[in-house]
Amino acid sequence: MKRGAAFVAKYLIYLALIVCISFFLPRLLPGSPLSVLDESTVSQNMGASSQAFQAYYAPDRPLPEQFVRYLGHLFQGDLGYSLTAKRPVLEMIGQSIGWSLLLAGLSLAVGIPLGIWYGIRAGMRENRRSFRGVALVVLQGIPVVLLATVAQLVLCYQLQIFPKRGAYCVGMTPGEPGYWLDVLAHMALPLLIMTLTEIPSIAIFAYNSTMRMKGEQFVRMANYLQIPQKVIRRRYILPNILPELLGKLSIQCITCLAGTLFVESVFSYPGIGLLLRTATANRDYTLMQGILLVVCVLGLVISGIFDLLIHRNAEKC
Amino acid sequence: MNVIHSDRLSLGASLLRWWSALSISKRVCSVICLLYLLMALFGPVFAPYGADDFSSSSLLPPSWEHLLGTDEMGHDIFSMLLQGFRLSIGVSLLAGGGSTLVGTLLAFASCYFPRVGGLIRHLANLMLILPEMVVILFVAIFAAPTMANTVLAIVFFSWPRVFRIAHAKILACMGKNKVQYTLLLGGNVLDVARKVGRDLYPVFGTLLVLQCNRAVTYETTLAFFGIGDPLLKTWGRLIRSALNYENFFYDTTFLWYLLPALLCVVGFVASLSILIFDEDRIKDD
Amino acid sequence: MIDLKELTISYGQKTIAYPEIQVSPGEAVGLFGQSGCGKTSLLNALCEPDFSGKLHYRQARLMGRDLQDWGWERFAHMSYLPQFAQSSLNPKMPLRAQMRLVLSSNQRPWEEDRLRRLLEQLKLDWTLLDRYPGTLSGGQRQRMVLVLNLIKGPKLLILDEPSSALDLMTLQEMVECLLQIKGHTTLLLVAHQRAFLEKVVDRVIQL
Repeated sequence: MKRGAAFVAKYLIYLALIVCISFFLPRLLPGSPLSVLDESTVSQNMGASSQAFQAYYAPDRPLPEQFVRYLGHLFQGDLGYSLTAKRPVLEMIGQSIGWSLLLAGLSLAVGIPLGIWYGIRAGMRENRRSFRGVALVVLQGIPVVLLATVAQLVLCYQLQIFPKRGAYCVGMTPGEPGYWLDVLAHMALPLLIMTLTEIPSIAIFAYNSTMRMKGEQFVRMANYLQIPQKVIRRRYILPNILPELLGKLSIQCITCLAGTLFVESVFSYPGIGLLLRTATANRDYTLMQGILLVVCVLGLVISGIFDLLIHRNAEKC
Repeated sequence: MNVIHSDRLSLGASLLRWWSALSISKRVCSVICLLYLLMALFGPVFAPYGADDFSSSSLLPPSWEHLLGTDEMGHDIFSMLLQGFRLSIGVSLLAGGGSTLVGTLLAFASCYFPRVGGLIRHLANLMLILPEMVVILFVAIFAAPTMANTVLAIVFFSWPRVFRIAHAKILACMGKNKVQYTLLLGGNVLDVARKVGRDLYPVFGTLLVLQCNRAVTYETTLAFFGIGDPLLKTWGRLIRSALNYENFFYDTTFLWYLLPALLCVVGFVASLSILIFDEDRIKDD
Repeated sequence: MIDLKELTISYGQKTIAYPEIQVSPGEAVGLFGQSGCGKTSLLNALCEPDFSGKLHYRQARLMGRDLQDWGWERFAHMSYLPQFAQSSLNPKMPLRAQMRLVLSSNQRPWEEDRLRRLLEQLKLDWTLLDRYPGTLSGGQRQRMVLVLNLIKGPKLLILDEPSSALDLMTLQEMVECLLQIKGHTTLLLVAHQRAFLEKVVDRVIQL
């Protein structure tokens, strides 16, 4: 019980810190329209002079009052109005988050097992070269936006293999026949890119862990006892590297979240990534702030889930 | 009378020893990285046109006058690419070096002063939970679009990764006998720092390369979103400009507009990655 | 079973020459020697398929084949219990499951009576099988590893210092158990306690 309370307290503190950061950061940055340090730029920003902006942020009120207003807005679920779309930010994010979670979730569901399987398999083999570590390391290093852009250019436009953009053909609705097939077709390439960028990290980590675990006495004994390699990989190596693997996966899921946003930006996939693209292109501050808050809270939730998983896993034996 | 020889090698000798331990592929990559650095230093000198010179006609295909053609405004793409060497690599070194320095110093401070260290560790843990790329985007959007702000944003949000690795290594190193001995003899911070530094400088070197690698990714992604100084054409900016061209997907302009900058970025990132690739224990983070 | 004549093993900096070692089927032979005299290297040569030392011999036969012709398949016929075997159990699997796995991997049935008797002989409680190795004592784990090695029905059983980590009372149990299997299993026992060896084996070879 005490540990549960400590866990909840820790994450509540993190949440509070995130809220504070999202409040103070724009106000501390030089050149920001909300800057408290540099008032001369406030009037220069066009978006900042709009009524919606003034109403939500009230930049000429004293700082403590701004903070209280901000908290009040948050508790009511009011993330402000998008300066460009003139719609509530919460509504825009709510419509998009489903697509993002779908893309991210599927890519993790495919990428994590594949990465672990590949890493463990290669780790157990005698031949180190078969892991192709160099190719994986290079793949891991390439910026996602570049990979997605090139893929879109070559596979969608030049070779016309995949649909060019969006999650479904314009005009299709969920009830129509062929809708889901269309959704799958549009998801194929973004999903492929996402999975490709996730697998290297996970595979490398699983490979390293397996190499360490390979020399352990109980793995050697399993070989003496004639236990088949497949069973050793599944029941000797995997459960024993799981604790450290979970820690790595926690970080990996958060990185995947960011990657999803970028891939969506490239493919105009109607998830949060597309909102991000419009927000950055139009200097839509309220939308940007809303996205940041939601993404950070998602990161917190992911981290919390993995913390719980790690804890459950440690208690078992 | 016994003469005690110092076993510390001179810089030249340790460089030579490092070089001879490298595999062929790593040697190739170090040469490539060196070439990149040289291009960053001297490349723009050979640019046939100024980076701001848009007097040529727009969208010319490659020719002897314009090796990579021109963009919509009439800038010579080859000159911009050369300029990009200096800018992109400069940002990479500054941001990478900065975040490595900050992370290492904070790690050392938190090992040396354990109470403050606890606080810093919690802060680093929180920052690791947040997807740093999104936070950097956020910061870069709100701040004035200057190169300095880009670098600062990257440094400010990527030090936790350095911190985590450096903290673990420094802690292990400080537990060793010789450091404990120094502490016992009343050595001050600098003495301990020197002992730790001597043992761990390979780790810091690897971290530096890792961070420079990451900084390139951050800068390219930021530029992709149109953030940063629009006048300073890093490779990322060049790629963004290429993507802004309205017929980008439909004709072959991308071959000379997008591809060179893209290959420069990928080449740099790949070389750095292979350089720190350790076959026996592949670096994971 | 084992036939070694004029064997020398070069491992790292050391080169060790061994006396003639012969073990006939059904025999129990002990190897006695101080630490560093090459017991471990010899066992490694016999039991590790990826042994990195160099062997020179006039004859080295293991279970009817030349030693260097054997790969991992040698363990279909033999069992090897290395020293300090307490960490040789998978910490993430209950013991019952580990036993089942060993039996199925060696194409043997689960014969409850036989298994109960074996565990009883080694003073291991049947209820221990539902637990994880981490909850057992060092001595219990060592005996459990012996159980796993026995139930696969080896023709040859090689034990390296099985008496370490066992207290005096369970040592007696171990001795009795080994005496039971002596007739139908060939035993090669390595120890540095001569008294223990002499209780179990037919003859002792000094290294």
